[in-house]
Order: sequence, then structure tokens, then C-alpha cells
Amino acid sequence: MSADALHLDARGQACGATLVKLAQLARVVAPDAELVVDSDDPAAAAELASWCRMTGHRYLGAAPPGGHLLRLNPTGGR
Amino acid sequence: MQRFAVTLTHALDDPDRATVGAVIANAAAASGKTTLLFLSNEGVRLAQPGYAAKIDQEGFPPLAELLASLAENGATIMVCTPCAKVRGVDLADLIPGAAPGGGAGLVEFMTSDGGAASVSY
Repeated sequence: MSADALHLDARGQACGATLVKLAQLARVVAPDAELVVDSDDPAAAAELASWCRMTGHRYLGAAPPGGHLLRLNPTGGR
Repeated sequence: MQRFAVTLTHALDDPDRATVGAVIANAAAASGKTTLLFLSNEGVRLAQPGYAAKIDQEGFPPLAELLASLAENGATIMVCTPCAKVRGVDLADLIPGAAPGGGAGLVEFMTSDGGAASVSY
């Protein structure tokens, strides 16, 4: 993970709200931007991986403690 | 393989719908469809161990049997995490075959690999 990775605090949020924020972020990030999503949703890993597969971004894995690392690709996102 | 999604939103509040939803999911799994049972709203309670034993509708197999056979036939049971959270359903202790899930998982299942047919109960 790069030192300048972006952060999204999604703790306490339902999955739908997190996805809406992710979609907004993905429109404005630089290419290959790294994003750490902090979430306490037990389905977060599966949900974020699903979202990435559908939208052309990459789910890179867990980013302890309690985070998930994504690589956003604005050209691949829809 | 064709895909089939059943979204189920009831438990003891409507045991008839809960049962028929599980029956249809079993029909899909037994017919060789890649099957997802998505539990949301009150339906998340069905994923608690022991809960389904309270539902045994006349004319249908007991709900606990239906859920067990789904898991045995390889169906996926997805439990909506925010729905579970507000109802105090422990996502760390779910019936076999069930796992925490959410909107993205449902949407991906229903739109990837040619999409899925679906019914809602």
C-alpha cells in the first residue's frame, strides 16, 4: 500500500451507502489510485470484491486493521 | 449453467411465504441451476441456527429441511448484513451454507454470466 493511499471511512454504514460513495470517488480519482475502505460490515470483503469485478476496479485484499485495499481505475469504472 | 435467484424477505412474520420461497429455491437447485437464496428484511432470521425449526407449514417440508437441502445441493445463501445487524442476528453464527452478503453480491449474481432469473418472496 502506498503512503498516499486514499481513505474512505465506511464504518457503521450499510453496504448500499458505501457503494454510492465509492462510485462518486471513482469518477474523480487519478489512474491506479489506491483506496483503503474501513468497514465493520462482515460482508465487506465479498461486497467490495463484487463491486470491483462489476466496475473494472481491483480488490487487492484486506488492509488490517479492519480495512480493505482497492485500486481504482477511472477509465475502467462505469 | 443457468442461474436462479430467490430473494426471501419473511420469516415467522409470514411462515407461508418463507416456506414457499425456500421450496422454489430448492426446485431451482434440484434442477441444476446455480442458485442463490438472498435473505433480507425479516428473512435474515432464517439463517440463525435453530430458528427455521419453528416453521413447518402444512403441505410443505419443514423449513429446516428445505434450508439444509439447499446447502447440500450447493446453493448459496446470502444474508443481508445491515438487515441482520438491526435485528440482532449474529453473522458469526449462521446455518451451514449461509454467509454474510449484500447488494453488490446480489447484483453481481443477477447480472454476470448471462444474468439470472429471479423471484421474490
